[in-house]
Amino acid sequence: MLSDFLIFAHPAFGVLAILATTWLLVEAMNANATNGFRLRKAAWSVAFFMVLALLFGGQWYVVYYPIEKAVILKGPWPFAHNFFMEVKEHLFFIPLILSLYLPIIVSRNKLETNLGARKIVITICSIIIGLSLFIEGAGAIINEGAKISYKQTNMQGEQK
Amino acid sequence: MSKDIQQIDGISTAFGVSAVITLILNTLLAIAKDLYPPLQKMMASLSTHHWITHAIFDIVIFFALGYFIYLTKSTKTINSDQLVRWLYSSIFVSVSGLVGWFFFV
Repeated sequence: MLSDFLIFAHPAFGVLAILATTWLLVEAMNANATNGFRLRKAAWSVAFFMVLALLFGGQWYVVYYPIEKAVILKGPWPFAHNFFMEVKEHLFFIPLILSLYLPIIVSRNKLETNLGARKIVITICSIIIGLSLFIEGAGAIINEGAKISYKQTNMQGEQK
Repeated sequence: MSKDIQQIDGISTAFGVSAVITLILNTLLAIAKDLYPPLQKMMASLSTHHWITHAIFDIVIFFALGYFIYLTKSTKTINSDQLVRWLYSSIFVSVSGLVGWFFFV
């Protein structure tokens, strides 16, 4: 039950982090004298959702994933773990660190007048969105790797 | 200095440089613990799991290094365009390092 909650909460917070980053990207591209508060709120939202994705995903990965890993490795898609999970579990730290940096740069610089700071925020948002979408996709492949393996095991069991 | 190259504040520059370094260290640590299992075991012994230690390492390095770089005032000459270039380079190195390592090894 807790495993099911964690497995849905983790990508859900990941998606919310992507949406918050897209919101920040749009606010930064249209930075003006009136949207400073929204910029800061969006930057903090990105960091908040990314940390929640880390906590929920981390809890699931450490406690429940070892069983699923063994299942995936016995199935027809071992690359779901050997490549996609291995890359995903370390690649995740890149958007995490960048998301922790966003509130710092957004809070300390006026993006409507400082084009340099705006350029950095836009760059970081683009990187976070791109990498996070890859991570979401990798999560789907890992899930499929486990599902295919479970199906195969069930079919073998029925044949016996 | 062209109009769009503007200096950002010292703390943002310091933590930006810290992010650049942390991302590369993250990739190096991922490869090192895969290459050398005793390191992975040692990291696992520091918390309940090597991945938790890795996460703590990255977060602590980012904030500690950012604060240290800020204290040294060594980033005064860095402008935003340089930081953007460093960010792209560090992303390229860290992503291709991770993808390349786990694809070929």
